[in-house]
Amino acid sequence: MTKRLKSEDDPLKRASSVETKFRIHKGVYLIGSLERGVTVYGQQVRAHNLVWALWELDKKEAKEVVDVAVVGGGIAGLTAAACTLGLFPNAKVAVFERSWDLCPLQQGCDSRWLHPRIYGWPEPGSRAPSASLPVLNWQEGRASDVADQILRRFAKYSEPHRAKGNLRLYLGVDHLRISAEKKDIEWIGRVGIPDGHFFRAGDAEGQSKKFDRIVLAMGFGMEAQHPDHPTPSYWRNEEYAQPALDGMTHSYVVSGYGDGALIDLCRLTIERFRQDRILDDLFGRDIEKTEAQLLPVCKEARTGKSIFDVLVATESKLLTDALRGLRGRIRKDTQAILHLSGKGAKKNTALPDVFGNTSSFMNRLLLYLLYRCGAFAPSFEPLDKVVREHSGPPESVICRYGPDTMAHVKRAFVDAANIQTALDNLRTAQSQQMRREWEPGCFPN
Amino acid sequence: MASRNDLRNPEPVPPASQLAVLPFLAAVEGFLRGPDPQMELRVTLHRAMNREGQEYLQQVCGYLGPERKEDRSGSGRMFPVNFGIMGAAFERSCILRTRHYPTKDELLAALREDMKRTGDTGDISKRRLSWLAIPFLGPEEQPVLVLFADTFEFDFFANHERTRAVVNMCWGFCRLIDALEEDPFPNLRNFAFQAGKKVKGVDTVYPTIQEEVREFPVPRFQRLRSFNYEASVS
Repeated sequence: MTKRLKSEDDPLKRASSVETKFRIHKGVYLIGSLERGVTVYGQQVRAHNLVWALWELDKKEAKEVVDVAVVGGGIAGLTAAACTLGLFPNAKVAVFERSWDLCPLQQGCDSRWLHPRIYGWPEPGSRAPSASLPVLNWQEGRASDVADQILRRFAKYSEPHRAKGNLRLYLGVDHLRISAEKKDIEWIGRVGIPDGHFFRAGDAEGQSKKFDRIVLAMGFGMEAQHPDHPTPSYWRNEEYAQPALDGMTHSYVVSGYGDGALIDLCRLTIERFRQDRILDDLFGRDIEKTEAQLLPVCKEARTGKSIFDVLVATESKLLTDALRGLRGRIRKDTQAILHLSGKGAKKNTALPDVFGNTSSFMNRLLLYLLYRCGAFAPSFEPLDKVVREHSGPPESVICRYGPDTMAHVKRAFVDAANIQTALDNLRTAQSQQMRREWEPGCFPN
Repeated sequence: MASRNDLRNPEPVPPASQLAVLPFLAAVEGFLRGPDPQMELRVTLHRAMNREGQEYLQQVCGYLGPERKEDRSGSGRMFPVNFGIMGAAFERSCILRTRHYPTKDELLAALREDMKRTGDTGDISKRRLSWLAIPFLGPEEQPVLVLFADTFEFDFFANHERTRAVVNMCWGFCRLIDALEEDPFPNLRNFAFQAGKKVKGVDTVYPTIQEEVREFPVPRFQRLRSFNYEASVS
């Protein structure tokens, strides 16, 4: 009786293709840092894909992998570590995290919402609240709740491997230098000590060691700061969505048009805005019909073209009820200017310019609806001029420009020149897709 | 060398989906078992699920059986859509069960031949003797769920009245879930799957000992198109 599930294509070929999409040097892999459209779920899928691909290929070559380094103790890093422990029972995995705790971005973050696939909306299944991942699965919630789910599952999943001495964790790693050529890491950090479901930093340790494989799950680095208008990280708690208590109207400038900026715009302009509920609020019981009709628009959006004109054409057919509902919920206690001029060589001059694929389809749709509700004033002037005219307090200027991920990755290497071409190719290819490539049932859990 | 496993590890099924079927399965199991606490009987449900455009059967929950009332180890396992008797029920949209044999020896002789034909090299002494698979169809005739039961009892599901009663229970489950689709509980919703390209393996239903049952209408949902209940904030 056959028990093995087989996809129609050859898993080995698929694994080989996946492996090349992550490789930046022989035995050195980068998860997602240079991809666009990055989400927690997407990073976890990439981690599963990579570890599965390496496992398939190692099986074929009868290769024994012992020492594996995972750089980054966020959700992607923990997923890569757990997947490795699950599939390679003899592997010794070392995880390096710069902060003093794991999942440092999301821990304690109560004002941001995480949903596995909502940024894939209106794709079928995108609203389902569960990530449905075999390793470190989680369900929608506040970022702090999701971090808690992940940390508890990681502790449980890794427990038998820790007991065998197969997992070492380093926290507060303030010195970490990787040689891609030698597959060697030099570090100074604190040994992570299991403490219930979590880990705490123990004694400091400095070491240099050669690894069989290095997996970089370093995320994206901290967001770029405007020199004159520093803004707390997207993952720090803030009060934008809370009604003003002084009865006054407060004005804000939001600069940027990526997902972070657009979520902040929604929080500032929509009464009772909840990222988890807004689609149901706007489309109600018609949501599935609306999704089916919006899907072709979404597919067009993925080509990178501006979807502004398509949304204009769609409005009378699909968006009138949503617009009516949203008009009734525009906040009266805030005024928002959305600064959209762009940075670098690309200068935007009109609203349709920001409807390319620099943000999720959902957020672009919300941006369009907010624009039609007159909820914000778009501005294409230089930021300094906008801020001068706005004359609000410094904290009312919110700059969301995203991080310089290339510099972030290269900083970890002593021989960054050896990987520059591979990094450039990864950034151009954008091929680390969020599709589940692993064979169903391969991950022990 | 990296360890090999049998690729039969589970992929998650939302707890709400599991909870939605467990009381029903407990009732089916209780009915089938009757007063015999030692009887070797297992009952579970499989759902049609789409993963990246490919459709599989996935075990919704663990087996309801004698040793542990709910053994979660099987929950989430994925199978080709033509796997065993449940796959045959899924593909043919038809109830299947182990046919009546006058004696256990005659059944075992037929089972031995069926195992050869399907390439099953397992130990016949460990094979169960009676199987039942009941598909639940959706409004467009698509199979949504398959109830699976097996036991070491001889001639168990060949009993017409017993099978009829289980089919009737399945109809009751369909009516309840349809009502919940119409008027769902707050924060508990069915996040439907799309139909996908069916992933098939080798046909492994025992060709001789299992029979189609056409006498009873196949349980059917009027509203439910796929089964994926999840707790949700919205």
